[in-house]
Amino acid sequence: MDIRSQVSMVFHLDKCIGCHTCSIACKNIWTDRKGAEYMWWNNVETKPGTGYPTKWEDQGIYKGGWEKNGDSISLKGAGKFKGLFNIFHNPHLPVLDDYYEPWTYKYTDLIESPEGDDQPTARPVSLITGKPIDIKSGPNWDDDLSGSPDYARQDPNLESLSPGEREAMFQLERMAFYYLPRICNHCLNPACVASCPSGAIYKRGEDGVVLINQKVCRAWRMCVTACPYKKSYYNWSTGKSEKCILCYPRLEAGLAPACMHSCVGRIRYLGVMLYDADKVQEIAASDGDLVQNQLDMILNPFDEEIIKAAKANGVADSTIKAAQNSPVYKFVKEWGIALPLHPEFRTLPMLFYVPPLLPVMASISEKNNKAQSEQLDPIAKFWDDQWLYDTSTEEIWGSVDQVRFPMKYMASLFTNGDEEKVKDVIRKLMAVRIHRRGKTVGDIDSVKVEKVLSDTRMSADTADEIYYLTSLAKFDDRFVIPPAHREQAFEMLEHTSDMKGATGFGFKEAPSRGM
Amino acid sequence: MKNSLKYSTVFLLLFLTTPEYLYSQSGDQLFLSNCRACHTVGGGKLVGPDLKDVTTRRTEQWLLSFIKSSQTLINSGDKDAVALFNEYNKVQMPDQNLSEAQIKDILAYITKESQSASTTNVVDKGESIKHPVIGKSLAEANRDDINTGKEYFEGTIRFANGGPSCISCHNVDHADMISGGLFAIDLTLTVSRLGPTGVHAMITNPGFPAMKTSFQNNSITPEEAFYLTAFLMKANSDSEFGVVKNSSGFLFNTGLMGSAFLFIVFGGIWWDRKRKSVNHDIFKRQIKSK
Repeated sequence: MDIRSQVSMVFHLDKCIGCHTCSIACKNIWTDRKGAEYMWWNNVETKPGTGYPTKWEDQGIYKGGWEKNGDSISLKGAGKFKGLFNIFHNPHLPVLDDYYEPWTYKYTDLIESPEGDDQPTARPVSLITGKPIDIKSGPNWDDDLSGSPDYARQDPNLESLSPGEREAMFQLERMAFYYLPRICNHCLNPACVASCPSGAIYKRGEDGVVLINQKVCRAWRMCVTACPYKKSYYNWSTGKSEKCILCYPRLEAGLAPACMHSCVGRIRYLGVMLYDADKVQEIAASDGDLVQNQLDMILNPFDEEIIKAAKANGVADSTIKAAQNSPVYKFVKEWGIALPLHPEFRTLPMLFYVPPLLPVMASISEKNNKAQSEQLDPIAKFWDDQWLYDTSTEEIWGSVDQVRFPMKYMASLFTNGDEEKVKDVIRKLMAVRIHRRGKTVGDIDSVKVEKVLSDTRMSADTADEIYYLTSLAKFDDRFVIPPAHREQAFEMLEHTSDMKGATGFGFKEAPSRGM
Repeated sequence: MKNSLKYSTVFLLLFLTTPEYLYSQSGDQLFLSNCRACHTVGGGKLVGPDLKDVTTRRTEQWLLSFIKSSQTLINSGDKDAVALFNEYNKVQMPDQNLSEAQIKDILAYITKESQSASTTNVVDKGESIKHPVIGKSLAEANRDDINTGKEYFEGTIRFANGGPSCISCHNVDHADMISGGLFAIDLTLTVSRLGPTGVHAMITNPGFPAMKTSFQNNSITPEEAFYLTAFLMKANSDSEFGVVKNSSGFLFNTGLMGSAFLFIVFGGIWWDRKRKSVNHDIFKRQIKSK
């Protein structure tokens, strides 16, 4: 066993209001520089939608991530030989139009224009060429647009749905959508690290943050191709690739990353988890339930054996303690209500999502209503489509099978197509709501509440805990950041006792006494 | 060891008995090094005319100015000079970097020689050029000799004295040889122009300034000159009878076909590549400002 610690995250999608505060916080701190304007280390996508860069999930286009190759796995679009053959042109790279051309406005025109018949306008100016441009697209161009034919209907995840089911998704006034905030997943089996010909990318030993060494990066851009989440960006100004650093300077100071700290909906959780690094290759190449396999890799921080092995491997006591208090561990392992995004890319992402429950107002389904139509008078108005918009749900929560988004769609995002797994998570989330409603409003029969809990293998206490961490959690509950032990790191670099007995701080000045 | 001692003794004797030959540039020496490549005295035409009795045919003043710079004289419209130039295939006689005294020495030598030599007009087939060791004449040169000449020409065999290979400046159309340099004249048909004797003389004793400089300190040996002339004769006759295959078109066509083939193959391999932005269709539709 090679036990290591990994700082991992949970995003609770039910709570995301799509305000983009996280993106702005991140941009203000890290990517407000020349060459980095188009980078969104943190971005919020509307789902269904094509995301940023457009259609990033479609690896038929971008060839990111791993693919199974016999008993092992190999990179889909990069790696030793594919990388060597493509090293000078790298055909699968996203181009700037797949992102967008960053721009600003010529604000001075507003106040410096000469007097005329028309109001002055601030023309958009490209941040790359400096010339006036037509704005063609933006980082969240399809924000809040779920029914758009250009973006929402091009969502790669819709491929698993039948045309009828797809149509159903867009029928509700084309307004059924939710948000998917994304940052670097700081994967356990990062494709970017594997693809880098220069060896510039590494996974930090102490907390598993994946970083690009800017001094070693040689701009091959293989990581841009290899990352299936397209979270590695190329800075055209510095000629180096950059990516989310999980605000490690903040983490080391005990602060939550900027995106998490600023989150209005408080959807983000951060904590440490212990995992067995020996199993990475085996699990990444495994068959069957990829999500379960990944969860099996994450170890119980209360287990005496594991604590012993972790200590033997140099994991600090404080880190083990943080792992025991980790909210992420609770969401992911204990309660099993958080799922990784696109586990089929086989990078073992360590950012987990609690899927959105989406309160069910009604359901829509494809029904053969021919018999019904025939009974109508010929002059009566009737719809010849086959949709049934059904508001007659028995429960106020509806049933899981009637959620707006087909399970297939959610499964394509979070469980590699395993609908039962998503259903199980949604059921648990619903059980917590029914339990809490029974408790606070009291209009739900206690027998029913108990049945719902036992169906989802939960105790009332667990449901209360989930409720607490979801709705009431304080800052310190949401972010359990392990101490970085910077003082120890310092001692490795310098002899702190060198200055012991020296005469304080400041510059040495000779006394001037007129001598 | 014994032999080399003998040779060195002979050499030493030569050295001691004919000091003038080595140290002074007398008229005959100057003629040999500057004129003999193209002219004879009573030996018939080579590149230029036979110079027998030239001193009686022309005035000394005319000869002096022609030798110093033939082109200046031709350009000035001198009738005789223009006629001469046209008669000899418009081969330009290079300007000679000789002092007036030296030219006079040469002319004196020619006058002297003219008295002894009798005019002959022979058809030059190279019989007079003999291999210095085996004594074979150029007319008898066989395939091996021609090949050796070719190898000297293209530099497969280096010249004994280290001179540059002919191909670096000259071209000869030959089926088995790559194109040569373009710095100097194309030698394919040069034997027709100069005759084997002229070519041989030009090789052993270059008259043109650039060639003269190139081979000043590393002259071509008579043996090498024999092989080279044999090769040039062969190249000349091959070319005259149209044996030479021009391969430049072949190269171009193969290149064209090869690149078309590569385009098709790699086009096929890369057919599935991402060729344009995924947003291409959306952007194409958008209205653009003027």
